[in-house]
Formats: sequence, C-alpha cells, structure tokens
Amino acid sequence: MKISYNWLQSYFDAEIPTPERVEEILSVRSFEPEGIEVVNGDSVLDFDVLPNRAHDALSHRGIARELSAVLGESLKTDRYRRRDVEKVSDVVDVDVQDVEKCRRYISRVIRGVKISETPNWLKDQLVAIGQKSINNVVDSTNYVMFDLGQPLHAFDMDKLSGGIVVRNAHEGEEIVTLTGEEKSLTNDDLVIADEESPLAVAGIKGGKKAEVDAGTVNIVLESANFNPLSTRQTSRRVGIQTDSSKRFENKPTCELALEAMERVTDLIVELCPDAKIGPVVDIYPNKEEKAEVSVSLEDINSVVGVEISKEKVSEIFDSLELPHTEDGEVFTVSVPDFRMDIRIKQDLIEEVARMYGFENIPATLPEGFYNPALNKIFYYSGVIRQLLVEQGFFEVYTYNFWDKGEVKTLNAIASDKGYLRPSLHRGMKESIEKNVNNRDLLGVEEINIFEIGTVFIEGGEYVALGLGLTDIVHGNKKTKKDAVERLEKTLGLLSEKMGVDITKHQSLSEVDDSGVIEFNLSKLVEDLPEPIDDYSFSESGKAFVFKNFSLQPSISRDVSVWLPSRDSKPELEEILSGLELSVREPRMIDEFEKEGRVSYLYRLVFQADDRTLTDEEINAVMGPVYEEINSKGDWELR
Amino acid sequence: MKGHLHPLTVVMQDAVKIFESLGFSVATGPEMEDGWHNFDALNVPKDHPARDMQDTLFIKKSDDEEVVMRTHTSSVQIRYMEKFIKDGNKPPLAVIAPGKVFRNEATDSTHEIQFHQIEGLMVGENISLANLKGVLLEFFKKFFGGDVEIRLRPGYFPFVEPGVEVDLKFNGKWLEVLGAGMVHPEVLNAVGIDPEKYQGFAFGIGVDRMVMMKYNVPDVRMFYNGDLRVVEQF
Repeated sequence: MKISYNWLQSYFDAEIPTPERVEEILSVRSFEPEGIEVVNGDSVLDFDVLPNRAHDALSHRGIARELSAVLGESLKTDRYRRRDVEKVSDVVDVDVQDVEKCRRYISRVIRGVKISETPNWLKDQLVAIGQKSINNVVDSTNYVMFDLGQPLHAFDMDKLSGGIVVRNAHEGEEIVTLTGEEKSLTNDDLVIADEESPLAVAGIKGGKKAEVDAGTVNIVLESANFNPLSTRQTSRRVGIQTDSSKRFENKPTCELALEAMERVTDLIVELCPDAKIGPVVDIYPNKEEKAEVSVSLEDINSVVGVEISKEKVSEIFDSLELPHTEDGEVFTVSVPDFRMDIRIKQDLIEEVARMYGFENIPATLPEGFYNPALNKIFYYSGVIRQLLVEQGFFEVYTYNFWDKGEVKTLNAIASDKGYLRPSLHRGMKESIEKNVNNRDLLGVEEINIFEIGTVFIEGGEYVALGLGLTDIVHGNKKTKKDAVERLEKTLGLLSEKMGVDITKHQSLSEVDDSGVIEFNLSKLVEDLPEPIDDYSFSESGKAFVFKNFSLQPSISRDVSVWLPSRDSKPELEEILSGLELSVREPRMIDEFEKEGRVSYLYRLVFQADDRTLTDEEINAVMGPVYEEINSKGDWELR
Repeated sequence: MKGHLHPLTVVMQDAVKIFESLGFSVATGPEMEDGWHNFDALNVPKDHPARDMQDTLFIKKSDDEEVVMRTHTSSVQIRYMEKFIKDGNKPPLAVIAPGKVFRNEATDSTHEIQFHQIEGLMVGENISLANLKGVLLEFFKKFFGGDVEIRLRPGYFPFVEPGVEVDLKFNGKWLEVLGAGMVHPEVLNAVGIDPEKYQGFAFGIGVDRMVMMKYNVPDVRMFYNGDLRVVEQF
C-alpha cells in the first residue's frame, strides 16, 4: 500500500516524524515497509499490508490510525467538511437481486456536476501514490477509496436506461470496461446493470456504457459492499484485478460504505459549485454483527511471557481505539467496525504484544522437559551420507521436476517441468554430465555422486538413494573394473552399517547408462530397528567464505619427471605449486620406481576468470618450469 | 580421498543437532501433500486470500480432492501432532521438520521452485513469545557462532496469532530471516489439542537462505544444479 507522507500528515495537527522515522516506527509496530520514494517533493512510503489487515489498512486512514496509536497523537476529525448545498429529491431505483453477493448498496444522485480538471492539491496526492488523474468526479471517488479503503463508483445518470439492478450476469453476457477491454461473463458473475445491460462488473471495474466523461452533468454514486469470495472468483475469471477488487476481496466492513458515501459527496460538492445532492438510498438487509472479545491479563501475560500491567494493557487498547470494560483482570473489548480481524482473544493478545513492543519481551529458554526422539529415516540417511562421503562420494540435490513421469502437475511453471521425477536417474545423469569435464578441476579421477531424495510414482512417493559412478560405464577396462569393485565394496559397507542387505530388493545389473543405480530407501528402512544411538553426524564447525569459481573452461597439463630418489619429491612439488593461472594444487597421478630412479606424473589445472585460456598462455607459464626441472642435473623430464 | 556432503545437508544436520540440544525431535513427512494438511488444518481455508500468499503447485484440484506439492513443512507438524495425540500422548511436545518445499514461481538468484525449510513447533502449558525469542536466539548464536541479535516485528501467517517476522542482525544490517508466532488455536483444535489448556510457538527457517548467509553463497540455484564445484567446498 503506497502512502503519501503529505496525505498522512493531513490526519494530524501535530507535525509527524520524518518519513524515514515513520517507516521505522511502523515497521516494528505494524507493517513491513517496502521502501520510500520521493515524488514531486512528497515522500511515498510503501507498506506490505497482509490479509489480516487488508480490510482496514489498505487506506491512509488505516495507516494513520496505527501511527496515532504509536505516537499517542489523536487523529483530526474535521478533514472533510460539507458546504451548504442545495438538495434535490431525485433517486434512482435500485434492485439488489443477490444479497449474498451484494451485502450493501448505497446510491445517491448528484445533479449539476461540472466535469473539470482536478485541483492540484488532490491530483498531486493521487499522482504521488501512482494513480492517474482522470477528472474531478472520478478522482474524488479514488481519493476516498485510498483515504478510507472503501471502493466507490460514479455512473453518468443520463446514460442509464431505467434504474439500477444488481444481478448475476447472463451466461455469455458481454461488457466493455472503462479501459476498453471486452469481457464475457458467466452466470456466477455479479454485475451492476440498468434495465438493458451491465454498467459494471460489481466491485471490480466500471463499464464504458455509463462512463463519466467531459459531458457528464448528473451522476449516480455507488458505495457498496460486495462478497469477498465471489469478487475474488469473478476477478480471477475475467482476469481483472483492481484496487477496488483487492479491497472487496479482503472484506472491508459494510459499515464503511455510508461514511464513504458522505465523504465523497463532501468532496464532489466542494469541487462542483453547482452540484445539488439527492438523498442516499441504502439497501442493507443483513446488518453486520458487532463483536465483543474478552481476554484476561493472565492470558496476555502467559502468552507474551512477560508481566504487563493492567494499566498498560488498558492504555494500549485506548491507543488503538478499542473501547473496553474491565471486570477484575478481564478486559472485554467492543470491537469497532473497522477491526474485522479482532475476533478471538489471541487477536487482542497480538495487539498488546506488538504495541507493548516485541523488543521489550525478554528471550527466555523454556523449562527443559522435552526428550527428543530420533527420526528413523533421518537417522539412517545420516549414517548413509557419512559412509558415502568417507568412500569418496559427493552429495547432490537435484530437481524434483521433469518433462516425463507418472505424476503430473496441474500448473507447471515450465513445459519441461510438468511431471514429478519417478526416479533420481535423470537428475543424477545431468549432474554427471555437468561434472565429467571438470574432473581435473575437482581433483578427482572419476565422478562418484549420491543423492537421497523423494521420487514419485502413481499413487505415492518414497525416499530413494541413488549412487552414480561414471567409470562403471565410461571407464576403460581397468577403471571400469575398479568402479564395479568400488560399488560392490560400498554397498557391502552400507549393508553392514545398516544391518540389512541393501541389494535386497534390487539387482546390481540395474545400473543405467550413466552409471547410476537406485534403491528404495523408505522400504529398506522399514525393516530396520528404531535407532538407539544419537545421530551419527556432528556439527560442521566454523563457517568459511564460499569461493566463487570461474565458469570458463580449464586446461590441464601433465608433467612427468624422473627423479633420482623420492627425497626430491617435495622439491618438485614446490616447483609445480602456485603457478600463475593454476587453480588447484598439483595432483599426483602416478608414481613408480625403475632402475634406481622414480617416475612422477603430476597434473596441473589452469583457468582464468574472464576468458578461455590459450595454449600459448600455458606454454608461457610452463616454459620456466621445464627450464628449472632441466637445470637440476640428475632430473629428467619425460 | 573423502567426498563431500551437500551444503544443505551440512546446515540441516547442524540445525538438527542444535535443536536436539534444545529438546526438539525431528519429524519427516510427504512432499506431495493433501490440501487438509497443507492448508485447512493450518487455518488457511479454501478461497481465503491467504492461500494466495504462496504460489502453490497443484497435483490435483477438484471440489472434493486437493493434492499439492507442500508449500511448507508445517504440514509435517500437523501430521506429527495428529499422530502424537492419536498415540495417546499429551503435550508438552517439541518438534522440527526439515525438508524440501515447493513454490510455483519464477526463479532468480534468491528464488527457487524448490527449497528447504525447517519448521519448528513447541507446545506446552506456558510456552510464550518470550520462549520463542529465547529458542531462536539460542539457535542463531550456535549456528552462526558468537553473539547475534534478533528482532521481532509484526507479521501475519494464518497458522499463528500473534504472528511475527524475525530479523537477524548480520554484518551490521537487519535481515528478515523467518516467520514465526504463537500457534493459532484453530490449528491446535484441528489436531485435537485443547487450546484453552495448551499454547505454543511455531517458526519456519529457510535452510537455503541460512547457507547463503553463513557461507556467502550468491545464488540459490547453485544448490540444485548438481555442480560439484559447489559441493566440494563443503
């Protein structure tokens, strides 16, 4: 909700604090701020008014009331005045056919308006909060909406055929809105119509037919209250959301409609010297019930967790315009119409807590009477994770959404994410493909990954464990064999650790073409005993700063050297370390002894942040390295 | 050579350890959830504007059946309390629910269609806002190491009343880190706990956000793209 600072100031005789200070005050007492911008010398504050308060605080008055409560400054009561004005007896007939959807309908005829440009004082405030100025009459209705929170509408009376009917649209009935959109309506959509056709989609948007324009002389004003649910459904169906529909969706009090009708009349009469006003026609069959809510001081203090005095609570209720009586230590609040959100004692406790100040509530640990129980799947997942990391596996979390599967989503965010994953295979395969060329960067021989994640099948879901070993598929004869051995060993260790044969429901031949094999962890864990020991993992320790890595390709260089003995190895490593553009410590790939000498093979990885490196650049770095190696008498570059 | 845990695991395990020391059990539950556990039991009725606060990903949506990808792990708390009562237990109870949640929204460096949450819940006879403040402060102190400051501001979530937003002072700046509040009596009613006798607090921590803050990771999408250059740092 955008709030003009000047507009807000108009509610107070006293000077209010600076915009920044107002933002800060309200942020800790009322609403979350979303920033301040300066528009034509006015400051515009923006507050995120959430559904519990959208019925009253999507308005300057709602925000002013909050500020008044915090500052202890009372609100001005004479912001609107009615000048003496000639009265007429004209009314339009109003027939409300659906009192569920239209909870109150007030109309008034004003004759002799003169449509003109809006005076600057009013225009500036509307423009400040991002509204377009239309003309004096339309701007008056908008001003009162943003001031009090009650949407209003003005029809050109001379464009009406007969009286006003508030009815459901005929199936397929059409309306052209004020902004020229053609909308087709259904029988569930409420419209304001004359005897022939719709004039407005009720509570959402006016139509072209009875638009107030430069030639308008007589108007019918509408101040109504429409059902929040049906307004919301129609707004969705026709695809129009407006400041008006947003307010009706949040159920403002029906009591506001009459006040808003009088205030907008004040304003139009002020802006149109020749205006003559008719009486209000008020159709309000089911009057809103008044609420009374009680809360005891004991309840307040027990929930807040601090001793607040009876006097302080009373003071807080007064500041929020919550009339109350006290019976011993029980407060009974006669909830004012504008606080539709206060219906149970917890609502009152919230009012006390926030106005007392959350900063004044101590941080107190609860008494220790809880015995934490271990969670089975979390426990065994922890055991598995720990073991797999020890065996050299990297953990991944991949996406739940695929373009194929057994369970489909109804409102997918993208066409390739329309289904829930039926297995972990695809995500793990993508991870393998992404990383396989980064093996040197990662300092690993092969990509070994695992994921523990939920997968979805027709009628259900379960937690799966996936293992991926690239070399099982992509390795050469030797590394393939190594990888298979590693898998078998890992599964053996897992089975041992968990006390169940992990391959019980699974054949090892089910490794896919990326080297991924998957197990139903939920099913495996079912058969396992409840854990007794604490979780196997421990806290990770101190934080470090994540290092952003380059997304440029890397280049690897292997250096193979004969050394006279193993004693020279540290010296070789030092020569190979810390080279310009290198991004990892040199990694030893191979070492063997032959005829009294030792052969070493080291891999170096180079990468830049901003470009693909060229061979020339690497040669320039390696040249001096080779020279240095060659300068050692008994070393030999292979 | 050792492998690496994923940063989300590291942080969730740390959080579990810390909350365990404060008396919380761990609960888990389904990612694909029915409308009752994800919304209705949490005092978010059908067609209430509050259902719009989260962009829900639907699996089924008809008048008599609704299945969604859970939008929070509060649904797990509901399941936990249902079972707790059904098994004949009485509060006090304290539980955290770590797990993956889903939102149907456009992604950027701070938004993902899937992310992780740890929802916490403590119910007893005298559990208060002061206790909520105490538990969260203790958690953040242990999690970030050293002195931290937290601040509560008014907030709104249908399943709590009073509702608060919690800010954490981080590198000298206040950052909004989580939503919390006192469990709404309708939520307790829904699971068969007498709200006249018991009260408690609930909170929801964004795990991804915690990793990003603690380790200065710039982009939430790094957690789900399978890139081991991220994982190897943890």
